[in-house]
Amino acid sequence: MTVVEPNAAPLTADDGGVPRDAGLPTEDAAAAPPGHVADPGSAGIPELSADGFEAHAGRMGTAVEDWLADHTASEAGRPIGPITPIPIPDRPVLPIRMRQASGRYRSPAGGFQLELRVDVDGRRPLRKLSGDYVTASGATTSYFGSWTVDAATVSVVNGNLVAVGTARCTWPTTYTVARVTVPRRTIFQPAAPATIQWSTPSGAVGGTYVCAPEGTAMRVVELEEDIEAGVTPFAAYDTGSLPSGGPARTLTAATAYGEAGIQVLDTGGRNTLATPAGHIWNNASLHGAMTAHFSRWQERAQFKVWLLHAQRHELGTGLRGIMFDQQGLQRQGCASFYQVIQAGTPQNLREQLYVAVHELGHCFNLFHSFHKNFMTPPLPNRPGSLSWMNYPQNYNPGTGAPSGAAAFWGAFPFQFDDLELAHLRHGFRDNVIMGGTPFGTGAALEMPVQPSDPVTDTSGLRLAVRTSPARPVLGTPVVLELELTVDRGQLVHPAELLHPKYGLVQVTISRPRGDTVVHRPPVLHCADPQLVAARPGQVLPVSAYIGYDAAAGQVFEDPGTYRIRASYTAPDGSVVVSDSTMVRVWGAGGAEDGAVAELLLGDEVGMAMTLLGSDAPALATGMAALEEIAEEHAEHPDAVYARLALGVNAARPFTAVRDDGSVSVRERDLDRADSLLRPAIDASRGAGGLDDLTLVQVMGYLARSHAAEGDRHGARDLRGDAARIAEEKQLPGAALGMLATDEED
Amino acid sequence: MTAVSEPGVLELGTGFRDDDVSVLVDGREVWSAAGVTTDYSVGLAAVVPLPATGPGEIEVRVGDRARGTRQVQGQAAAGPLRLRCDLDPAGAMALGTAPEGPVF
Repeated sequence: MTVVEPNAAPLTADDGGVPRDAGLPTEDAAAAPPGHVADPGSAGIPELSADGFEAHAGRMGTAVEDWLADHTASEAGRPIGPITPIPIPDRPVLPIRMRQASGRYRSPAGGFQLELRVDVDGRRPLRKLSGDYVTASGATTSYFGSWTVDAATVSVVNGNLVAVGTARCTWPTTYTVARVTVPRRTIFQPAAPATIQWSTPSGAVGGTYVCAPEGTAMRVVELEEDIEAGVTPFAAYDTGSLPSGGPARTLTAATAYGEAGIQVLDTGGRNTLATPAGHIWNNASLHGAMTAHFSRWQERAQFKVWLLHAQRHELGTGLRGIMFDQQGLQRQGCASFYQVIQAGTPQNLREQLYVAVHELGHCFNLFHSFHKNFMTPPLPNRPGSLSWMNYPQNYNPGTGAPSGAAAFWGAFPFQFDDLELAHLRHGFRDNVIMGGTPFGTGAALEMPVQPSDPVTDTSGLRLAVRTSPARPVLGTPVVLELELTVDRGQLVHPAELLHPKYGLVQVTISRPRGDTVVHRPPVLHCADPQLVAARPGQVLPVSAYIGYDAAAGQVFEDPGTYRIRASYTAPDGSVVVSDSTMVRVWGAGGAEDGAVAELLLGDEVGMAMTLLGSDAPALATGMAALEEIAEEHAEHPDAVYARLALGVNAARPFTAVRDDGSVSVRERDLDRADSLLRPAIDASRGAGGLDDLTLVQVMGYLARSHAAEGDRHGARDLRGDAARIAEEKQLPGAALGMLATDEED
Repeated sequence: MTAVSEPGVLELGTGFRDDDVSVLVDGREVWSAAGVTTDYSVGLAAVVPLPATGPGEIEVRVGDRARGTRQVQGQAAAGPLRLRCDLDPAGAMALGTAPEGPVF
């Protein structure tokens, strides 16, 4: 058998691997094997929580408004309309602590061997997959290449965690769709192997690898620390010693990396370098010391790194540390300097920790937060990053928030930021490994890229996207309208599950500042993966607010042109990619535009728009900003969005949980809802205002609120009006499902 | 950041890529070097000692791609002179007072 490339290689026992049918988990398995603890999530998709517990999501209603449905309360246990707002398990089930699936796995040696990294749960899950291939030839093993899935769709099906996504690879291949399956296990069971199956976007099956679990860390690195005579090296720091932005815990350099998913092993080769009193280092002498004293040093790429605890560098006492190794195979060594931070005060210990983690971060090919635009290729700088790689004195979160060292330390949670975490865990091997690419090169490849066109697509599905409004100005909430058209009858997900918050549709946004954001909705939902039989020609529409992102915050915060693309993972694994749509965000045209934009671009407003309003104290500032827009800028075109969020919030009760665990309910305020939503509806009957789908959803929602208050006549009028609008605007038939009546209506 | 005994220093910071750099005080070249490249581990390409000077003009030339000047009071009036020169990725120069704070 000729093995062309690892993703295409069919797996057979002759390869030294595991036969295709040997123990591969099957998602269609109806029941757990005898002796296994029943997986309580088998009836639906459990939410994956960081602590390993599975929470149970209730089944969705049939025709629901997607994001509106999330905020609908029930009255006296009676569901309102087709929405099932409060998940109720069919039977009480005690939570069983599940073993984390995230971690490192490895396929058997022979032929291509894969180190697979799964990052879907546990601490700060990034919903990414990645791997490195090595290939054996005779008695030698060589690195072949790496791949990364930037945004995996994760679900749990019949007790198996399934993660699917499209990979970027370091070699040319058409087998880019990765499907990783990990049987869920309780903590009382041994960890299960992970199986990855490659396919092309059109479904042609490629290679399969069964990978045994190796550990929960994504990568393992050996660290050797040597000490200059007279230096008391850093040992540990209690992050509760001084105010900070994270939980108190004791950190060493190794445990800080452990939190990032990198296991640090001590080589045990620590020794003391006897230098003359007053010795001052330079980069050349540091490099010489490394080659002489680092017991693991070789002029080759390896996950091994050297840290020297020294007194002083020739650049002066202001230099606390340096990654000096920038010749030959770079990034294998670094040093920290203690001359002015030796005394064991909390401030000094904090700085010693910071310097050690920071310099080792350079060895992993991380640039300073404020130098990212000098990397090859570049990324935008992140001066507001609360990261090990920033300078405290350079910290500047913008928008007038406190900046500088005091603000930094007060908010710093002692961690890397998400993009750095992605690099450490999932960067292509040569861009991360010590002795790999030169410092700064390839350090930004973790920036997601737009999905590429499939070579072929015979899925019988088409995905179209467009934005609303057509001509947004800075601050205008941007809504993405998606339509899945079924050309060949088949089972697909219902329209409401096409909202990005369910994870089946990924939205990628290339911004004028040069980066690309894989949209991560701030609120993710799990739903029963029910399918519907779609007939040829059927169109499934959904609209989604994409202006606020869990990681990037406000997405459309610069004037300029944005390119947006979406991909849908169909039930059969096909990845249906939309065409790109461009939207130009215009700069504020006047003083009022500027004032409204400033109000709308706040983080709390973004979250409030995502939730369509909230009484939560944490969002009070955002809601106040929306009030100000609705009242002080009532004639501004963007006031319609403020009324939308305020009105929907008023149209539903809000349940607040007090500190003592008791709850209070703010009842629905229908008069206020009418006073806000009806002008928004009227402003949207023509070409302006809300997008068509949102308009109909809002009318349906307001109708249900009227019905819930006993105003059946008003509800009926609203529905009739909405149906006429839907007809006039020629909305797909599926949109009318949002107007379904309730039994009591 | 630097703690040198010269009357003043000019830090050549970010954006230098194998550049020919010269530094002039009141039109007189006081320092030059070829192959100046930023070390992004510390954000520095070079630390240039400046001679004692009264009020005058500091000029930095980076090959043919960037040039900038700054009027200075002189170290006698304003204390030790600490300047910094950075280039943005497009080559635009910022020449001003060096920031305070540790470097790592």
